[in-house]
Amino acid sequence: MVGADEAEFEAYAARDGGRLLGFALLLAGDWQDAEDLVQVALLRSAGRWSVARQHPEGYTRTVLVNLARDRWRVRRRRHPETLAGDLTQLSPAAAGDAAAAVLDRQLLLRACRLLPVQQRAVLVLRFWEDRSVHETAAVLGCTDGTVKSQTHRALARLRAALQDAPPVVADADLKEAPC
Amino acid sequence: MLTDHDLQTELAAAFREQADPVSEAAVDPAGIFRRAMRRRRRRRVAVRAVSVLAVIAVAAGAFVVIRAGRPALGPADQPPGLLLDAAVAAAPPARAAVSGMPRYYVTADHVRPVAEVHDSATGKTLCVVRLPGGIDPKMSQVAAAGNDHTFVLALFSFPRTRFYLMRVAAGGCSARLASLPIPSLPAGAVADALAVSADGSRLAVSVQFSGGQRGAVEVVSLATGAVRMWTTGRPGVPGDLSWADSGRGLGFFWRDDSPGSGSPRRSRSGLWLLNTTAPGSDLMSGRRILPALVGGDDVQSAVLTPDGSTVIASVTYDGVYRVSRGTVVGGLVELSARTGRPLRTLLAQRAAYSADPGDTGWYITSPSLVAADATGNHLLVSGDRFGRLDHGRFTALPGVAPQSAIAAAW
Repeated sequence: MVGADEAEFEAYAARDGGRLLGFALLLAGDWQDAEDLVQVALLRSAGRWSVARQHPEGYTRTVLVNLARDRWRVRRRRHPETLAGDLTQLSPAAAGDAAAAVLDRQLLLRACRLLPVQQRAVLVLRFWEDRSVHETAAVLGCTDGTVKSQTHRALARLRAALQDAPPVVADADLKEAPC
Repeated sequence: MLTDHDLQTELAAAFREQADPVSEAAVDPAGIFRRAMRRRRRRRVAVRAVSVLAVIAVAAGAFVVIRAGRPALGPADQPPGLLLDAAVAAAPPARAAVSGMPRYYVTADHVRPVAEVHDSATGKTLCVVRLPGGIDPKMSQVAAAGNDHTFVLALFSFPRTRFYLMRVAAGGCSARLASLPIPSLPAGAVADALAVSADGSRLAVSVQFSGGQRGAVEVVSLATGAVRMWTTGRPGVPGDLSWADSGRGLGFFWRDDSPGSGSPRRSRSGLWLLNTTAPGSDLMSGRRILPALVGGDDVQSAVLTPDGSTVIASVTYDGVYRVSRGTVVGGLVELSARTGRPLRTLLAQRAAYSADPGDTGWYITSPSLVAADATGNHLLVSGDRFGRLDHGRFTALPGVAPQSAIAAAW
C-alpha cells in the first residue's frame, strides 16, 4: 500500500516538479528559496498524500503559496522594501537599445516581487501556467471574483510601476489580501 | 499607456523567460515520500510508546518542523487551528487553583521496578515502593481510586499482566502493595491504560493484544473478579480511559495507526463513549464524541471529565498555514462533549524556532495529559516541563525529564 502510494507520489513529483520549481521561482524570486519551498511543499504533500492525491497539483501549490506568504511576512518585518532604488537603476527610458525588452521584463519581474504573495500567485497561475480564472480560484481556495479582483489590482500596480516616476510602495499596500 | 492585454503579454513573456528553463529541470522525488512517512511514523511511534506507558492519557509531543527563513519578530497570539482557536484560560490565583487538589500522586518508574509516592504540592518523593521482581517496568500502569490513598497498578511479568492494589498510609510516608484477586490479562496482552470507577468498585482496562494493532476494553469487578470485555474486528487500540455519567459511560480514545486506516479524517480514531450498562460486546457500539482530526488540529489523546460534560484533549496543530514565534501550536484544550466545540485552552504550547544548523525550523509540540484527578480539575501534564495543571494554572514539579513518557495517577 505504502509502496503504491510512494510510486504514485514519485510519478507526480517527477511530472510536476519542474513546473512547481518554476512556480516557486516566480513567487520567491530567488533560486534557493524556490528550491526550499518546493522541497517543503512536496514533503508536506507526501505526508498528507491520502488527501493530496485527489488533486496533487492544486494541493502542492496551495501549500507552496502559504509557505511563500509566511516568508513574505517574515521578510517584510525585517526589511521594508520600496521600488524606488531598483526602478531608478532599471529605468526603461535609459535603455534605448536591444536590451530594452529584457530590461523591461526584468523591471516587470522586480515589480512583481513587490506584490503581495497572493497577487503574485494569481498572476503566475494565470499568465505562466495558463490557468483559467476558475482553475486559479480552485488552486488558491478562493472565489472566481477574488481572482478577478486580485488580477485587476496586480496589473494596475504593475502598470503604475512602469510609469515614468517610480512609485514607492506604501506600507498599507503591502498588506496581504485575504483569499 | 499599456493596455491590460499588452501588460499580460509582457508579463507572460517575462515569466516564461525566467521560469521556463527552470521548469524543464527535473526534481528528484526519491526519498521525499519516505522522509515524510518516517516523520509521520516517528510521530505515531511516539504516540504509541507514550500511550502504552501512560495511565489515563498520555500523548506524544508531536514534532513538526516547518522550514522558514527566520523567525518572525513579534508574537502571533492567534492560534492556527480550529480546536486551538479557543481562548487561553486565565490562570486563577494559586490558592484558589489548588483547592481540592489530591495530596499525593504516584508514579511508576520505567527503569527500576519501583513506584513512588509524591507530595502533590512540591513533587517531593515521600516513599518508594518496591514492585515484584521480574516485571518489565516499561509496561507498568497505575490508576487512582480517587480517595487519595488507594491506587491500582497493572504490572507485566512475561507473559502475564497482573493487578495490584497499593494503599498509601496517612502522611504518604509508607505504602503497601497487595495482589488483587482478579484475573490476569490473556497471555501476551498488556494494559494500555487503567481507570477506577468513581465508587471504586470497577476497574476498566484497555487491553492491547500481542501483535500490536488489536485491542479491547474490559471492566472488572474488584469485589468479585467478574470480567466483561468489549472487542471489535477493526484494527486499532483503545487508550486513555475515563469513567463518566456516574459509572455508566466509559470514554476511550481509539487509535488506528494501521497501514490501511487511510487518513485520520476517514478513520474511526478519536474519543468514543461506551455505554457499559447496555447489552452486547461491540466496542464500537457507542458514539464518537471527538474525531482525531479536526481542521488542522490533531487530537493526540482525550478524556472525559467525570460528569461527562466536557472533554480534555491534547491537541497539536498539523496544518499548513502560518506559524510564527508565539503562535499557539499545541495545548490542552477543554471542549464541550455535546458539541465538540472548544471552550478554552488550559495550557498553550507556543511555536519555538531553532536555528541549529541542519535542523532549522519551527518546533511544534504539544503537552501530554498524563493523568486527571477524580474531579477533572487537576491534571498531571508532561511537556517542556512536567507538572500539574490546576484549573489552568501550571506548576512545574521536579523529578521528571521534559517530554517524558511517564505512568502516573492521582
